[in-house]
Amino acid sequence: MPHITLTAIDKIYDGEQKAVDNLFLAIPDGAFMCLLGPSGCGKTTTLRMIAGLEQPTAGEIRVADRTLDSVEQGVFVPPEKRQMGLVFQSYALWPHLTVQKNVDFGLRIKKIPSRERAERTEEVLSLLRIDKLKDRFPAQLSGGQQQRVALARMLAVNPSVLLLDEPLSNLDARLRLEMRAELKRIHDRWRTTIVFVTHDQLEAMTLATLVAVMNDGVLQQLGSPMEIYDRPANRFVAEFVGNPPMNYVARDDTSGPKVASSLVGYAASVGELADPVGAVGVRPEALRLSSAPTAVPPGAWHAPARVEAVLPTGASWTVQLRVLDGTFYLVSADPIEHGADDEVTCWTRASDLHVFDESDTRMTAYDDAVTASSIQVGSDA
Amino acid sequence: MPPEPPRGRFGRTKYHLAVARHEPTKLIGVLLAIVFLYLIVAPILSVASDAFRVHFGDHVHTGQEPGAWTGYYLWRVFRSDVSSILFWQPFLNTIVIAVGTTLFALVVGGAMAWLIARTDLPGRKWFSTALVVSYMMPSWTFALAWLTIFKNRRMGGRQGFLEAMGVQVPDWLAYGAFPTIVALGLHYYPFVLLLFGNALRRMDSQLEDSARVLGARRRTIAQRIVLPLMLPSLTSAVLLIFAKILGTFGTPYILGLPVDFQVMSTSLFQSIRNRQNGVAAVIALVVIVVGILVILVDSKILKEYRRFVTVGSKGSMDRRTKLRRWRMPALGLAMTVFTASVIIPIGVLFLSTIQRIPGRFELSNFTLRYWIGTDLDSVAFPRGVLVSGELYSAMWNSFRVVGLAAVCCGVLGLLVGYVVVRTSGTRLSSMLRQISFLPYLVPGIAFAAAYLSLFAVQRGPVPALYGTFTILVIVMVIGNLPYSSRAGISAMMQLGREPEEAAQVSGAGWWRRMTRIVTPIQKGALVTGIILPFISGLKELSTVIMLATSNTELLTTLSVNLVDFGYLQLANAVVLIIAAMAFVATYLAQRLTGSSLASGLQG
Ligand SMILES: Nc1ncnc2c1ncn2[C@@H]1O[C@H](COP(=O)(O)OP(=O)(O)O)[C@@H](O)[C@H]1O
Ligand SMILES: [Mg+2]
Repeated sequence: MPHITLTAIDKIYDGEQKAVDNLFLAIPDGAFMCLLGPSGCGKTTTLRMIAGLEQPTAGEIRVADRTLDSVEQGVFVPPEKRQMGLVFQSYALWPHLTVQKNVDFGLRIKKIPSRERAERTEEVLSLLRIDKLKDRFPAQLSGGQQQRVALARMLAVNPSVLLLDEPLSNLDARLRLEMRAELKRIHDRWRTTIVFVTHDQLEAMTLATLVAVMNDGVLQQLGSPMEIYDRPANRFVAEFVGNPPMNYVARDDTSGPKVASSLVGYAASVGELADPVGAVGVRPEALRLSSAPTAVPPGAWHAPARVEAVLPTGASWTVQLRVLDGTFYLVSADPIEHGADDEVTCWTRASDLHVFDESDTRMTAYDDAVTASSIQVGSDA
Repeated sequence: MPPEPPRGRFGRTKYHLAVARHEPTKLIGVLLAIVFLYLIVAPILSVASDAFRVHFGDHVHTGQEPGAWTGYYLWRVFRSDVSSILFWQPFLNTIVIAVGTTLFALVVGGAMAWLIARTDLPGRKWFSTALVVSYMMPSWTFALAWLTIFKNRRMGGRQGFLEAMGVQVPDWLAYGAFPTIVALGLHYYPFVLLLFGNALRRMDSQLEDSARVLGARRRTIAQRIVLPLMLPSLTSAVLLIFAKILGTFGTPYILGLPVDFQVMSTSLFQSIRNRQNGVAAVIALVVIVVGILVILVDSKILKEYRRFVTVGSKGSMDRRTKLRRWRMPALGLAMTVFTASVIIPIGVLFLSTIQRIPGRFELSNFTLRYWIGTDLDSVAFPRGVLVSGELYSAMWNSFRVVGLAAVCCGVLGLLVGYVVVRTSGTRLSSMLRQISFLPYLVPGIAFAAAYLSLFAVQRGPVPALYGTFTILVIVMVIGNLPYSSRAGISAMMQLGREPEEAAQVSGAGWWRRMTRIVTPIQKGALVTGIILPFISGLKELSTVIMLATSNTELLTTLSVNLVDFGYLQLANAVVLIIAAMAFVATYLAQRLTGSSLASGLQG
């Protein structure tokens, strides 16, 4: 049973464009849900509406059986009665209170007896490994420590939902990795529902059990990280998720670039598609190189290519390729033996292609056709 | 997709009500906006309507019924036989005074700013504090000091120092335009010093350096680079002084009265004293319109310049011009300015209160009778200021009125800031911000006239407030509102709304958030927000002179009344007391909040 449901949520700030547009979202109990999207797409707004700090212009927000907002029915539960936790991007610690008092605050409001309060505070502080800092003021803490206090402050009251707004964006790379692990540990231990906002797709992929991709206030796709990665619902999701980004060719009616028409034609014939194909994408990891066309598995798409540059990162190799008239990127876990200006053949399997129609929506007909076809086109066999 | 939720008929309204019930911020904002509209816009509308309605008693002249629409007052002020006395001469005089004072302040303040900010003047740190002291004294201190020195036989009472020493002082030197310009200039030059000095300090000296590398000579650099960059701050200082002089009352009144030298503010005051309310309303309107124009021009110029003003913080190095053999003369110049603007006025005022006959330095001539005597040869004020009831009751009144006003200012400022920041992005937020800035456009004395017009009689449920302490408190609070709300908004902006929201999601209701989170964090801002209006309120004269009555005498109005009666020594003593109180309060404020003197200079 879904824990949090957002139904037909609109949010319009004074006289501006829609910050959130007709959003439907169901977040299951115990999920680690990530709201992913470029900055300004309405993630923070959505999170603040769930917390009750911002009011939707239309729609309904429910947690379990409880209606928190319903513009149409005139129901509103104030933030202080929602029993949620919210960690702000800026941490927003109370500068006049010590770490201990910061963490203690929510418990005091709940009128918890002082002994229990002390125990609970102690527990959360040591869970986040900041028990030694409890008498310091926020100004005396480093960024990472402030982050932990902000988290501890919200965990102390044992919220039913924990909302995090880009909590890691102000940390340096090492601390960020550490806090990611910390968050995962907290989620495993407490099984609270977590809603997490980020514009960093890697963060979303590594942490979330469920990802919602947003753009311009509109939900683009909701699914597990692997679903988002393997079957992006549209061109926006396909290009936003993945690094380096997906190689992408769009059919151009007038000039008809060679690589585009080659890929589009291949996809249309393999998928036996009746509708016109708008664009085709292939992830850099799914591209392969061969020295000659003869080495390509039967049925796979292939084209002559020239190596333009090889960029080793230590763990993998990125290759910039000139494929017919287009520039593609390829990522390989194995060492690349070719050098610049080598003439090669680049190929990929039919099942690795992402095919979109003219309105940039995924053509599931193609996926179905490829999955269904008994001859595994382009399989290594 | 799930089905659309069912729609209640009044759901949306019900929803907004439910939100408002839990979140009083918007409600408070709306209430504040309504109260401000009533206390700021209504008086101005009232004075505007006064200008075009026949007043009781004028129906004989106009041949119209009282209350009818009329152009009579416009005609009287602008075109009649008396219009030269009522308006045109004061108008010209105001322009002469404003231009003269501004030039004076520019020359003195600009030179001092450059010496302090960009040269190796000895003791420049000390000067940067010492030279703004004159702005902390009541503005008409200099006028009283001037009279004490230059007063001649034209005026009754004791003569000035010079006459007492046998020097004949011509009228032009004793009264009128020239002394007014000097007295106001000495009060306002710190304004230029601060604004201009700040801009000079922040100017990126790399800009100068790059010009020098390109082979530009010093004079070229000054003309082509430094001056254009400084222009916005200079124009700003000039226009602000101009606007202040428009509404200032004490100095032109004290120095102009003996020779009938009138400016707009004193002419307005006289019209009201003579119960010519229609005429007063027209003059007040003119003052308001000119004041608004000046400020609008200022903000337009600032906006124009903001495009290219790069007085950034990055490259501003502390490079100073070496004065070399001019170092001592420059020091002498700065000392002269300090002496003229601080030591002489205070010294002269003090001397005058301890001498029987001013300017005579014999031991037998010294006396404490003006402070503690009981047998002064006057009917109205037979006792020295420290032993007369008047001083203490005025002091008590000042404390009460100014204290209450200051507390209101501090609280209101933060409340406005709170609402503006919490509702940021909404129309309410920007409207509140703009309304609270409005009084800035209205020169002090015209604002008082507008208050008199609205609150002299009972209107609806609001009783006649003229002659009460309430109206003095209100006019001080509203007059200070632009500064208070600006400070409150910036304090709240700096805090942001998130700390409070964190408390909110932790379960704290509105009242608890205010008392446990917002107020404790803003303690410092609140204290500053109370002390600053207190200091400027102690010295406030222009806005209260027309609203205070004998029952609500304040220290400032007492001092001017003493001048009216010709008791210059007593007036001087009272001004010294006001200055001392302002100094002490400033010092305490500095100790308490750690803020600098410069930031305390407002109103
Ligand atoms: N208080 C506000 N007033 C007006 N517009 C706002 C406000 N907050 C956010 N917006 C606008 O709403 C859109 C979404 O903002 P936000 O939710 O903060 O994006 P994100 O968190 O995804 O970066 C942006 O275009 C932003 O400018
Ligand atoms: Mg955001």
